Amino acid sequence: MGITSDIKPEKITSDLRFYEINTCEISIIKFLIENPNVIYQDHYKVKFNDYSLMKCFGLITGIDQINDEFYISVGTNTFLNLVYLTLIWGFLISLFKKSNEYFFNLKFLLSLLSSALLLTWTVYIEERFYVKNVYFFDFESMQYFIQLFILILFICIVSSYFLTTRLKTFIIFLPFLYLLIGVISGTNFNFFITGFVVLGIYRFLKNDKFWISKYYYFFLLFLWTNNAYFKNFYVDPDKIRGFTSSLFSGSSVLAYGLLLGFIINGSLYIFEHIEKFDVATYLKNILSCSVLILFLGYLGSSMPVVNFLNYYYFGLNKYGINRSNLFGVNEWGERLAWRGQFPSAETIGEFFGLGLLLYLILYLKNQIIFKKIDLLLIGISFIGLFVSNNRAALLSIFICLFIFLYKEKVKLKSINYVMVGIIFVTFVILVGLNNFSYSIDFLKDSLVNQGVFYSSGETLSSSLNYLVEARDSNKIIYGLIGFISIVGFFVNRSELWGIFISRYDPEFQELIFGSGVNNFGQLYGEIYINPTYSFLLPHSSILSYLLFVGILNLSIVLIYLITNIYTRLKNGPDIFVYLAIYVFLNLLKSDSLLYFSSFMNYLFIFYFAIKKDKRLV
Amino acid sequence: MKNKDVVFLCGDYPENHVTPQIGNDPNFVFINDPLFDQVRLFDSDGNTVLVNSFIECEHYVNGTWDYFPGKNEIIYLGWINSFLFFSLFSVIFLNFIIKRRRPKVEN
Repeated sequence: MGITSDIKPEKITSDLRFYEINTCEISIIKFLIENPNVIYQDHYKVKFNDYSLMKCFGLITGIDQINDEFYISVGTNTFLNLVYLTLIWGFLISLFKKSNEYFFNLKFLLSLLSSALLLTWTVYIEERFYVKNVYFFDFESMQYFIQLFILILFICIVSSYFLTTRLKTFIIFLPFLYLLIGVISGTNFNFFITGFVVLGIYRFLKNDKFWISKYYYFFLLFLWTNNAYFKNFYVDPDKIRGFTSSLFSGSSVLAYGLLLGFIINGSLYIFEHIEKFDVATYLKNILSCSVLILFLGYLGSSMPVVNFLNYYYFGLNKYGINRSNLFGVNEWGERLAWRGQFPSAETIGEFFGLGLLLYLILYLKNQIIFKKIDLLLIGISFIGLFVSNNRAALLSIFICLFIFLYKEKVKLKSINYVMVGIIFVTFVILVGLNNFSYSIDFLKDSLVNQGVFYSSGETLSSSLNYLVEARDSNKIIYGLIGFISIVGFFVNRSELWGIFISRYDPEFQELIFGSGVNNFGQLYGEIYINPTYSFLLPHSSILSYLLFVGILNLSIVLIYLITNIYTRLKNGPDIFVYLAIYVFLNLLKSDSLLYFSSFMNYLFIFYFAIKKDKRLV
Repeated sequence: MKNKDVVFLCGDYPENHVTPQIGNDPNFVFINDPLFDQVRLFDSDGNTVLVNSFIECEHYVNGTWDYFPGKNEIIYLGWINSFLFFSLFSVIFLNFIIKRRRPKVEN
């Protein structure tokens, strides 16, 4: 048994007895040499089996046939994944030039130990998630705890080493987080997050700095933990794995609250240490990543083995799409979104759009010179945006360009009219003319109607109950809901926001202060609703954060952001203000803040949009 | 005291269970328990035995028929961890030595 086995692989046929008998005997390489058609024929699906012995790592653990498709299971082991991927990604990052020396002191050692302890704790909290992914782990044994702690400590050391030695230049490479996502197969954590947590704790211990008042944050943590104390709701994290908890319970809410707090603190530590920020290089990295994402995504969608390797080596939250037709349509002739290897078509569409917008602004500001290669890069980014079917991102580009032209470039009134005209026509084309034929009453009620449609009828959520009542008694607040409903309908969000309302069942405290960050357990587990066609997220970062931090905190953050961006826009904006507007518009109807790559990128954009910074080049 | 391997392989200890003193008694007969689902046990050489009661299962597990795939995973992880930290400290130590031996450049 194992890699040293001398059993020779056989050709794959519908008679799978050979592979049923000889599990953990044949390496994936030997198997592919014998069956090269598995590499490129799309009726083969190569999948990882994290729940296998260390001895079975890289070996075929089984093959199943379902209808015309063959599912080839390759053994991996969660512990070995942790070690192997940490070393591989560490090596990859080491290829980027160091910007400063490594520092080490007692407080840094404390940060490393406490980060490892916090992350190990999350494994114990999410036992239900890990028992499916770790082959025989005794959660009650001290020996297991110590070994896991040491392993996670090692990951923290490696991740923080590469972050601290590239502190001054790390931000330039943020776009690469969309390519190398860093989620370790079989686990619910992200390689990069470990480094951010270490730096976050270090900033807290060394400078006594936290990104908001530490007392207020600990007050929130207390409220959230107390609220979740006797609750226990599990949700499969699916495509947001690595940045969300799989369980809603007191300890999980506390652990993830601490994690997110320190991640943000760690990112601020990095932002403070940038010496200069070259926007042109940042753009170049966005465009290069866009090309790589599209190229690798396409290869993965047409070749099962590439799809399988992409998932493992780029640390994807979920397998890349396997539809190789980028321009596919459904039975009603509607265009289907294509996401390549990224877990969300919407978020990757925003990323492509961000590159396009940044390029156009820099070009119009004469900060970059047009080269022939740019045409190719821009063209590929545009194809990426087009196939992702993210119409809101396209519209936001036009809106931001209009604001840019209005503020900086062109003072001619006629140009303004032309731009307004273009935005209007784009809006009509993107929404579709036929969608304008509905009555206002229908549009106004579409959100609540969808909520009622999806609700099981047995128990209505408190939010749906309130909205139905507000509609029936014609309350003033319903005017605002009606407006959101109309906007939601035009951006194709009625159904998804309706589903959110049918699930969202806050008590008074939860409505005001939220129920804890990056945790959907309660939302998906508390209220039973009619089945949906897949795991559907709220599709609005505003709704997600309404759930996480409540209406009070969300309002404060929104008012702070909007007033600051508006002030900057009035008093000589720089490029990040336009990017922030673009991001803000998209976040209204996308889940991007639930993915670590976009969360970090957007945090950085907002940071520089709010703060006038001389380090921008 | 409960043996974790027994619980893992044979299931939870029955209420008020007392382990009989079987020792090496050749005349001891294990009585089949109809409520107990038959269990197949292995030893480290791959030999196998079928047991039909909790008492029999416990006896065999305590007598080294306690092998199951994954039992040694944590020991392997211990080796891997030792190797990782040994390598890490070696790199740090070597780096330290090299830096000390490098002649200082005076300004």
